[in-house]
Amino acid sequence: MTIVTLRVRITSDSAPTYFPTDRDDALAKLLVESRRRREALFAGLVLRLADTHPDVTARGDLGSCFEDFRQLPSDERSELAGHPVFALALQQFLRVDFDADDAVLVAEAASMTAAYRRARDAMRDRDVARIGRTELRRWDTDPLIIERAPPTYIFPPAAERERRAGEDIYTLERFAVIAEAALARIGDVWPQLRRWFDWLVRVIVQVPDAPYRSASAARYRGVVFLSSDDTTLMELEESLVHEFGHQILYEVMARSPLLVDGAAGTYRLPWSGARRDFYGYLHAFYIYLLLALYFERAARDAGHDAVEVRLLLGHIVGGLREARRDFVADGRFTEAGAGFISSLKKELDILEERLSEAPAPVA
Amino acid sequence: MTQIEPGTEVNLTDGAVVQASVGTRWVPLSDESVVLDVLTDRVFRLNSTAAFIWELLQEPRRVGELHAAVATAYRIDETETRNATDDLLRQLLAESLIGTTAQGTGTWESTISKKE
Repeated sequence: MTIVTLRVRITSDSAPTYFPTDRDDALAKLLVESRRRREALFAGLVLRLADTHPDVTARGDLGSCFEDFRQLPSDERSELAGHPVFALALQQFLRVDFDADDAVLVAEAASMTAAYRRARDAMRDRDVARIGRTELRRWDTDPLIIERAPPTYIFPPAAERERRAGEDIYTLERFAVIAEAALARIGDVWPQLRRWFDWLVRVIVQVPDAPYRSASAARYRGVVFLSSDDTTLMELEESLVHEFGHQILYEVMARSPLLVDGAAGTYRLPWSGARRDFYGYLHAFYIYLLLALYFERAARDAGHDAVEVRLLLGHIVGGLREARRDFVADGRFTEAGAGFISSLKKELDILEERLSEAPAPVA
Repeated sequence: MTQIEPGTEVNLTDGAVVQASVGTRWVPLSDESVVLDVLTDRVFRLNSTAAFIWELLQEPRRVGELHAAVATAYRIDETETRNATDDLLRQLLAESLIGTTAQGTGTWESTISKKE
């Protein structure tokens, strides 16, 4: 099923970077558009099922569920459409074979309805742990996220999850206090980024035993996995901003591919030495540029250690300079991708110019 | 009535009659409307102005009638009304979401029956 939007088109010459800056409302437009597409897709699938299998729709709860969705105030419906559990359920529903037996269709419709209700309840439930508006989960993570998480994280079986929920020494409540503090600092440094964080990172799954600082993937966008490896507030800030950047790119690439199929090669990331394919390298370039812009601001914030921040900023910008030569607008990029990378490189040029003019910090 | 191919120049006279194809299903969603073409399994999102016109197209309408309704609802001048309405109608025709017949040229026939 494909979606076509019919309306007057407004085009612009410059490709946006989608960074949360005052001069660029592209991120806001992107997210609104992404949610509206999901709303339309849900409507289309319900219409389709009602058309071909009216009895299935009548027997289940899908019709009333969709009516509930339709009657929601538009901001609430948009928030729900952006919820990863709703999005994952919709992905599954999209794969339904409408020629299947009624029993199969009834089960699929019930699964969609149940996920819809879980997402809606999660948004309203005051007992759900949160940092800001972002849900904070561990062993109570939604089954659809648990299903899609591997290989990022393989959850233990349900019985073990239940047992461990009462045994963890590093509780979720304790993590929430620290993460709240990190997010507050992000808000001090870059208020727009903090605001958009709630829109993009809808669920944080904190798993103390994960073998990384943070992780996410396009297949379950809106969800971020965090371990307990961040030992300082600034490290946690970095992880949160890093994952925020990934979420932007997932949204951008879901709308229009930036790379042509089969863009090959393996690259060493200048920041960590890790090896990545070109897709991963592009993600890293984008995220480290976002981090550079973040730490440039943090260096001016009284709550941050300017010397520590500038050291980190120097390391990040050094890596960006090194990586820049690999990002030539060549055949690996789509037209949208070529414009995008050109805008990122311009942003890096401007950043370097600003940094060269900035006074050295007082140690 | 003939099937309209994408890119075909369509002469939308005021007397031409247009109507939503029988193979479409739709539902309003806030200020938008979502239209499903059951033949192609494609979903169309119509913005608020397009949705207003789409709702009118659930019955046979003369193009001139649509111009008047849009002008009244949106209080825009005649040229702008014609351009906006006709542009949408051409897009809908190109996507086979509506069918058209010139006044007095024959009986109504929907695009879906033509495809079959």
